[in-house]
Amino acid sequence: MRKKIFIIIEVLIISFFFTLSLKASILSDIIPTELKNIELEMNYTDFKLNYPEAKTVGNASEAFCILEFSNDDMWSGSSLIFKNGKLKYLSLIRQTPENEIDVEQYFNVNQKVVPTLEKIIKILGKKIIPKINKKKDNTIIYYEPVIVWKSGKNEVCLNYTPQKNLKSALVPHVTLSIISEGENFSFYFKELFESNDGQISFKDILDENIKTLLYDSSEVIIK
Amino acid sequence: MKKICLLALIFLMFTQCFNAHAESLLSESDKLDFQLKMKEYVCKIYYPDLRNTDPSLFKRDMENLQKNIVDKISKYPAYYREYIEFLNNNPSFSAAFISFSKSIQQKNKFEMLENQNKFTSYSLPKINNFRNQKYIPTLAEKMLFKYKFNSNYKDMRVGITKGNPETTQKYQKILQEFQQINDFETLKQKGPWVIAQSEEILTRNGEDLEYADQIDNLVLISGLCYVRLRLSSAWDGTDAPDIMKQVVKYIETVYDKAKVIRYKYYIGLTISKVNEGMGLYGEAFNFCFKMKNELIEKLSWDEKTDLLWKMASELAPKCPKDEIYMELGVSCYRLYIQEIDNDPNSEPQSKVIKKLQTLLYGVVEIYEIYEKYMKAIEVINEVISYPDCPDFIKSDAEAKKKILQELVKIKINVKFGNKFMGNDGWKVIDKPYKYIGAYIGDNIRLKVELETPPDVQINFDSINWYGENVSSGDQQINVTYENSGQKDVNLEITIFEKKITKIIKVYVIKKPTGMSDFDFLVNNPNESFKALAKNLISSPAASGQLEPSKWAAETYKNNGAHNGIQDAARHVYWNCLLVRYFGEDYAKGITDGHEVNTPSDLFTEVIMDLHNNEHGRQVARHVHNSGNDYSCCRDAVIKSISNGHPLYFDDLVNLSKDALLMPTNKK
Repeated sequence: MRKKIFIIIEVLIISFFFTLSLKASILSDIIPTELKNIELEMNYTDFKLNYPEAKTVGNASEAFCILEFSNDDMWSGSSLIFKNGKLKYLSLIRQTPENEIDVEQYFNVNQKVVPTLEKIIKILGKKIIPKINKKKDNTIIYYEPVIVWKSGKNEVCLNYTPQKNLKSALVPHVTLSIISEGENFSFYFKELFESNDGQISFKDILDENIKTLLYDSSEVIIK
Repeated sequence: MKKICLLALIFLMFTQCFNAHAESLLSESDKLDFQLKMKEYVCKIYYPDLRNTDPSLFKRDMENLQKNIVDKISKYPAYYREYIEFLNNNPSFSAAFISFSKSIQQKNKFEMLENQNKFTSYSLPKINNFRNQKYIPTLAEKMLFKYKFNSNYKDMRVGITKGNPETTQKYQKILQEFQQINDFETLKQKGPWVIAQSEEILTRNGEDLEYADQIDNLVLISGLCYVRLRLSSAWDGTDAPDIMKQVVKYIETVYDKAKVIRYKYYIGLTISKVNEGMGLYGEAFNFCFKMKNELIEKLSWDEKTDLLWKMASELAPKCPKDEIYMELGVSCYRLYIQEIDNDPNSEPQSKVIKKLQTLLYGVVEIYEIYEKYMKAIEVINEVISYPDCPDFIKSDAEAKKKILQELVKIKINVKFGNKFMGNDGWKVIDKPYKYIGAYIGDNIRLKVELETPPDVQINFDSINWYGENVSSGDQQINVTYENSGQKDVNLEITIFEKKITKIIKVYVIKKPTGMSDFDFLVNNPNESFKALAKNLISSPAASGQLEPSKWAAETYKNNGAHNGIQDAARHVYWNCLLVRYFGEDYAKGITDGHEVNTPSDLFTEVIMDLHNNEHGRQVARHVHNSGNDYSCCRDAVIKSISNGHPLYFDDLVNLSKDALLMPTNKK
C-alpha cells in the first residue's frame, strides 16, 4: 500500500514537472534565441556581462535596457527594466522599422497578433484579466487592449495597437511582456484602467479575430 | 434763368432728401456687423473666459470696441436707430450698455439745447437689469469674440470703396452661416463653405467689399474655422496663444494670395491686431514692416501715413526692448515726416508744426524710452534750429533739452538679489531683455540706485514699483510670486520732473516635481525602446552621443555647451525631435522629468532648460514637413535661435547663482 502511494506521488510529481517544462518549451517557441539566457530576477551585472551590446539608461540599481534583434521576423527587440539590480520587466516588441510604408500590413492583427495569442493561450489558457491602456499622441487619444495572464507568480501580458488606430498612432506596436511578482503592474503602462470602469469597453476595442479567439469558448473566464 | 434756378433748387432738395433717407438706412450686412459688435461687447462683459487674459490688453480691447460702437451711434442716426432697436429687441443686453445710454442721453440733452439733434426721433430704451438672463453666444461667436482684438479705431476706418451688392450679399450670407455654427458637427458642415467663400472674396481680383471691418471679419472667421477644424476636439485643451499663432499663419497665407492691394493692407492690419492681442508687439511690428516694404508705394496717402504712424507710435514703443525697434520706429517717424509735405489738406505752417511736433514728441520719446539721451538732444537741437520753428515749440524743446542734459550725467541702476547670493549680494540688470529666474514662492530682492559723478548730489523725486504682487514706493523691495509665467515688474521713477519707466522681467516657474525622466521612461516602454534605439535618450554619461548633442555641438561649436547657446539649441532640437517621433506628452515627460531632481541652487539652469524644452515642442508644432524629421527640426531650431526665442545664461564664465537669462539673439 505504501509503495502504491509512493508511486502515485512520484507520478504526480513527475507529471507536474513535465507540465512545467512543457509550458517553458512552448514559451521558448515565442521567445527568440537571443533571450534564451535571460530570466526574471536575474542580476543586472550578469545581464551586462552577457549582453554588452545592450543600450542602457540608468545604472545598476535602476536601469532600462534594450536589445535590438536583427534576425527575428516577428520581434524588433526587447526592453528590460531592472530595479535594485534585479530584472523585473522583460518585453518583446514589434515596432515599425525605418522606411516601412505599409504600417497596416506590417502590424496586421490577424497575421501578427493572433498567432502569438494562440501560442500563449495554449500555455496559459483563456483565463485572462482584461485591461485597457489609454494612449495620447499629440491630439489623438486611442485605447489599446492589454490582455493579462497570471503565470505562477508572474504576470504575462500582450498589448497591441488596434488595427483601426495603426495609421494615427505615432508608435504602433505589438508587445509581449513578463512582469515579476510584486511589481506595480500599472507602472509599465501609460494610463492603465480596468475594462469595466465605464470609460470604454474592453470587448469594443478588440479586433474581431482576437475577440473570437478569446470569447468563442465557454472556457473564458473574465476575472 | 428763373426756371433753371428753380429746377436746380428742386434737384438740390431732392438729393438732400435722398441723402437723408439713405443715411437713415443700414444695409443688412451693416446691421449684422453692428449687431455682432454689440454682442461681442456684451459677451466680453458677461463671460470672463471670452476676454483677453492680459488685463491691460483686455482694457484696451474693450476701450477700442466701445469707441467703435459709440463712434458709429453718435455719428450716424441709422446706427443709433439700430442700437435702440437692438436693445429693445434684446432687453438682456441693456444693462451692459448703461454707460453708453447715459453718455448718449447727455449728448442728446446738449444737442437739443443746440437745436441740432439728429437723434430726437428715437427714444432710449428702458434700462433693464437682466443680469440673470445672459445672452448665450453660439460656438462661432465664442470663437470670434475670444480671439478678436479691437485695436485702435484708426485701423477700422470705413469706406474703402463702393461695395458690390452681390459681394455684400455673399458676405452677409457668410456671416449668417458662421454665426449658426454651434458645435463641432455644424462646424464640419458649414466651416469648409465659410472658409472657401471668404477666401474667394478676399483673393479675387476685384475690390468689392465696402468696409475694412468686413475684411477683418472674413479673415478672422475663416482662420478660426480653419484652425478649429484642424485641431478638432483638442481645441478646448489648447492654449489661446497657440491657436492664435495658427490663425496668424493661416491669415498670412491669405495675405500672400490676396491680389487687391487694399485688401492686403487690411489683412495685414488684422495680422498686426491679432499679434497685438497676444501682446506680441514685436511680431506685429515685423509684419507691418514687411507690409510697408511690399506695399507702401501702392497705398493712398492716408493708408501710407496711418501705417507709418501705427508702426512708430503704437507698436515700436511696446516692442521688446531691442535697439532695432528703436531704429525702425525712428525711421518710420522720419518717413511720416517726409509724407507730411504731401498732405493735400494742410497749410504750409501747420505742416511745419506737425513735423516738429512729430520730432519732439515722437522721435524724442522713442530715444527716451531707450535712454539714448544724447540722441534725443540731437533731435531737439534739430527742432530748435529749424527755420520758422514756432516759439511755443521752441520753448517746449528747450525745457526738454535741459532735463535731458541733466539725465545724461547720471545712470539709473536696477539691481536684483536672491537667497543664494547672500543678503548683501546684488547684481545690476544691465539690459532690459534679461530675465531674473525664480521658482514660485522664492523671494527676489530688487532695488534702484542712482550712479552720479562724485560732486553731484541728486535724488529721485519719486519711485513707484508696480505690477503683479508689487506695489511700493520704496527704493528696495521684495517680490514673491504664487504662480508661474513671465512677469513684468514696472518701475516708474521721477527725476528732474521727468518720468522714466523701466520694466524688470522675471521668469517664474513651479519647482519641477512628479515623475523623474527614468520613471516616465519606464512608464512608456514602447516609446522608450524606440527613443533609445534612435539615439534620442541615454544615460547622462552617454548624453554626448545623442543626436541632439552631436548636432548642437557641431552647429554651435564653442558656443556654450553648458548653459550657452549650444545648450539652448540642444534642448530645442531634442524636444522637436521627440515630439515628431513620439508626441508632445512623451517629449514633455522625458525632458521635463530630466529636471525633477536638480538641486535647488541650480534653479536658473532648470528654468532655462524648461523654457527651451517648451519652445522646442512649440517649434515641432510649426515645422514644415520638408525633408525628414531631423532636417526640418534642424532648420527650425537654427531659425528660432536667430530669432531669439530660446534663452541662455548671460554669464558663461562664472555660471553662478546670479545668472540672468537672455534671448539667444543677444550677446
